[in-house]
Amino acid sequence: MNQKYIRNFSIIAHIDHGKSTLADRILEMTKTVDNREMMEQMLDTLDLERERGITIKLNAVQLKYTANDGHEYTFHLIDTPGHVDFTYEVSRSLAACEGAVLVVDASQGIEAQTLANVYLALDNNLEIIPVINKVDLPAADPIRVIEEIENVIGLEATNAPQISAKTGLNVEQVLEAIVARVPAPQGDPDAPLKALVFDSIYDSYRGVIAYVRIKEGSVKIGDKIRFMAANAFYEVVECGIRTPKEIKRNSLSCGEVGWIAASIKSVKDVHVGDTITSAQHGAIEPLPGYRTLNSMVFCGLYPIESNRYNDLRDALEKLQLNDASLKYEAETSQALGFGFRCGFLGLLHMDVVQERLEREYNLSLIATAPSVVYHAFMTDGSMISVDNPSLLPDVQKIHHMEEPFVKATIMVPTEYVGPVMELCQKKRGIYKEMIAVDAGRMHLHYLLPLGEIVYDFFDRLKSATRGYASYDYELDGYYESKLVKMDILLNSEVVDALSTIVHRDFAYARGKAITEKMRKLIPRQQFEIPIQAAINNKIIARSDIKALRKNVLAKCYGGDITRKKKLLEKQKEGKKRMKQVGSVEVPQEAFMAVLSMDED
Amino acid sequence: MEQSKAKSLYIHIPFCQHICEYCDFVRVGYHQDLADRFLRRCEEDLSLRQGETFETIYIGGGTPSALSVKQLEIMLRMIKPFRAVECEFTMEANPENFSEDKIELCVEYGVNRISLGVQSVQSKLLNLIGRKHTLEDAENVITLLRKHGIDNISADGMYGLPTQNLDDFKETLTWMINQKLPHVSLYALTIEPNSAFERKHIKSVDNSLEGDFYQLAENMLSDAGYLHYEISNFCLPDKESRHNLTYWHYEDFVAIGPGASGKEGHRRYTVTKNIHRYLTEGIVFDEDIRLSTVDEMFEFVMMGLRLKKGIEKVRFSDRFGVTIEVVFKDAIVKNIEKGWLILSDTLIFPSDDGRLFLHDLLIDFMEI
Repeated sequence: MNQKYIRNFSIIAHIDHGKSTLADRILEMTKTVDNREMMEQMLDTLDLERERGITIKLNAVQLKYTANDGHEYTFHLIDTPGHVDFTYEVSRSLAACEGAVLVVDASQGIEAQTLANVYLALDNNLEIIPVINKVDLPAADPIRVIEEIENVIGLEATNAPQISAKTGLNVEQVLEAIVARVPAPQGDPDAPLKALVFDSIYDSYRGVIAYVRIKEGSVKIGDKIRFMAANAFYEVVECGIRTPKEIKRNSLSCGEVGWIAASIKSVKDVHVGDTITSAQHGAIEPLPGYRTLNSMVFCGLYPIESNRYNDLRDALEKLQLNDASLKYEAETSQALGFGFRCGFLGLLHMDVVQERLEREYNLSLIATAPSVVYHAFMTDGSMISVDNPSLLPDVQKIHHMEEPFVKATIMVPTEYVGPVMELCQKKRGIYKEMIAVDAGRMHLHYLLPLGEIVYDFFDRLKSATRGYASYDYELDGYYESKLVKMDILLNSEVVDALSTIVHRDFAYARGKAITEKMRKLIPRQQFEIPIQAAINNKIIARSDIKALRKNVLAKCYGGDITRKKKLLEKQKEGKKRMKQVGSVEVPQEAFMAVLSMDED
Repeated sequence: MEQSKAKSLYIHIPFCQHICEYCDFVRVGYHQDLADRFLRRCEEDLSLRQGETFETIYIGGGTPSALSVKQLEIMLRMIKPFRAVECEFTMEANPENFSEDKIELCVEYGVNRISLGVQSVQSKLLNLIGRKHTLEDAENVITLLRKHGIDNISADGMYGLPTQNLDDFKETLTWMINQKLPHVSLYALTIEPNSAFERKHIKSVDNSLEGDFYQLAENMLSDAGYLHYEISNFCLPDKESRHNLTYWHYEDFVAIGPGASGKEGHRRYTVTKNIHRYLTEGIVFDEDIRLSTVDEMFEFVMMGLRLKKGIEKVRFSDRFGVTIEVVFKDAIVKNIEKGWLILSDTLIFPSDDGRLFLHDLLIDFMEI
């Protein structure tokens, strides 16, 4: 294949700004997917993605486009995740491209997360093609948005295509711009193989399948290959492209984007960002940019039925392959038994992993409240990293503690600045500065403790601003904080899985909110259950769950057996979602309640 | 249709003069034309049953007594041929519209048991739940029934009503006892999705208070000589509702009318709840289930354990060819250990605590 006629690009957009719709339209217009097969939002393959309308996983398709210059071009469209949690994966998929289409909603303008991804694209030296979408909507204001792109990002946008991905209006201009402006892949077809792994999936028949961009050289069936970071050797069994249907090919050449199957049974050998080279006479230097990810958020995952521990382990292993940013290691909780401490990029990531484990692997899980990594500086001068609050050492042995802070950028219409500042205050934020982007919008810069924002910050930000605010953050560093461990006692027993680390000044309010929330979440049982919050064995708050007097319905429905049975089935389902902790049955949601700020 | 050996027949009359706030049964406001059409439709259903006779017949609703005198006669006349000898023939009635001429008709056509919707003796509570009768109405109806020879009277009472306190309920129970009613059904208010209460965001009373109501009824009625023979039902000796025992014994019963549920052989069904469809489309079911043996075994237990007497073990083994102790071994052992279940040579029955937590107990029986 002639590299001159290859174009590799991604689409960058804020959630809801129309990325998937544009991708669908491009697939349709290049006849890659015929209408019969066309399902809305073709690229989002996970059910979960389609349901939530967010792109979590990457996907890559090859399409053919005959441009106005008469030549047929091979496009590779690489889809990127659109959420702040998935920055590393975005950066790896961008590294597989030469260009990026930046989609901006004509009525909404640029959002903080879009900005973050644009910077990632610029870091990877991508050619950026701004596109104004949804120009057919009444609220569209393309002129303002063009100005904003020029002011905020510094990109020339005067001639940006003004499109409607929904109706297909001017989408052809986007395709022509890709041909004209995205550079053809460079790379030496005769050099030793260098293929960038930007995604992988597990197929129970063929093992791990790696998604790759061939940066140098080529690869064919039968080649012996090496994953450089993992230093693992395999032989290529199959390779090919996706359209998005899988098409097998004998080889992949320089500049192409496709997949490689090599009977890889060990999921640990394939990392996103790793470089594949030839086993013999291979490249010396891997491609730049590979790193092991630092998890930002941790939680314990435990099977509700203890005998499914091994199933959970297998599921995590398989999931990790498709999701390089997921980390896990075995841990034991007195309350919950055997499980795993898992590390995630952020809370959405945690949610998605939990949901995928439950849905795709049919597991019922308890997730403990998410925690960040705290640094405990001991009186003997050593430092301990704590990602599980219950493992925080004795308070007498701790000299001081530090917690991670993030630099957060919040973009918000001027009229909501007040509520946003109030929210940041509540979350122990430290105000840095405020910059006017244009007449109606502000950039607020805050230092915020990561532990305070992992839980519900984004939801609260959205509700405080009627959904108008967007935000992005990056880790800033560790700073000293007056932190203490708060234990929760159920029926007078400390439940390790419910311990949290909180700021001393907020401890009483938190303790009250948590015990009250848990009282509402834990169903009554046949005995009274006190719920207590304690710091250093001193009780600071208490609520009681009253005993259940009876659980039988004295209702008039004579011969209606179905309804009687349905009621029981509902109760049985409810019980399945509960974990036996000591003598108390605790529902999943209660483990999250320890992050409650208010009594609502 | 599968040949039925059903000994019981239920007919649902979906009309009411007023709709009660808590009700989620199939019911519409009474309308003469609609009721006429309904009766014709009922007749068609009954004609399919020609030749069968039933040991118990129950006309429920809705409010059967909401039918006009003429309509009531039409209905009772069409049911007449289906009565077996010694048939227990019950009709539900609302004190607000059960006039003497209707009572006379009942007597004429062999109705020998009346279930009266009394609910409460307090007018303020009756108003609150949308019932238009008074205590006086109920007393008058009872006097008339006795005058015409119908002594087998059951009264419904409710507890857990908004603002209702223990003293209110005590007064209602005292009245029932003083009336020497042979049968009493007591229901806890449940807020159902299709009721007016639900739309008004009325909440069920606290579980502890509901427990107090339940316990109060149990204590007062036992002291007065009543047997708490089923979770919601009390009676003087030998005055159990034979019709309802069909349900608790998990025997077959035929259902006619919108929303009515029946069980015949290995089949269980619910007639459509949509009155319009019922009137226009012939026989339509909301559900029509073929029961597996596992279904039947569980349902047998689910219904049977609601009775104080519990389950006669031999009835289970005669029916399924295997003993109950073998099928539900784990659940039985677990609940005996818990003190919720008692096993005798012939019976298996819930303890007092087991009855209070019957739902928890039954969940163990859902996994064989």
